[in-house]
Amino acid sequence: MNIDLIFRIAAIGILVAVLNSLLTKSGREEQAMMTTLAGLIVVLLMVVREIANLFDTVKALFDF
Amino acid sequence: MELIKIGVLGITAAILILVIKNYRPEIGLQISLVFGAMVMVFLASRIRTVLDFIEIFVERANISGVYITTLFKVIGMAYITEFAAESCRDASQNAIAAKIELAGRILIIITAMPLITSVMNIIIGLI
Repeated sequence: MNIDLIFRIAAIGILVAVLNSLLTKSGREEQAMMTTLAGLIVVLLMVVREIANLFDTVKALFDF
Repeated sequence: MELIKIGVLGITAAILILVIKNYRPEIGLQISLVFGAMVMVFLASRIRTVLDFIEIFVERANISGVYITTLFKVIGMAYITEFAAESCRDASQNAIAAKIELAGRILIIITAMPLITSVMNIIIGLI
């Protein structure tokens, strides 16, 4: 059980939020949008791996 | 203690989601997804123990293995359906959740078809 994954995702979320507000304040709306998107994709990659792991586990557990 | 671990981790995840939700709601959802996946993976070996326990008694009661395998299959499918549907509901996508549940129900009925057939055969034989 890797607890640090949750903290890592939360850290990425906070980082993206801070970068987003900074870039928005300095008038770079489109770069703020890109930062949001990049953060979301990075987190999504981490989550997808975990979900795939979960579904594989359930599949193996209830043998179907 | 595993229970304390999971409880503390759950509370931590909830607090983190609460903090992040105001800024990035989509990442809050991802945290809850990861937490759900991690708990289930963590519990997998324990569930295996329970299933083995059930299988021992099924064997002693001379119930056909096909039936119990189908039952386990249905439990697994129901779990996956529920996990996906609840995640969609958390993202307040109730329509998608309802569709996932519908798909799960239909696939479960198809999986359980042999069981339903044998029950029906018994009922028809009784009439």
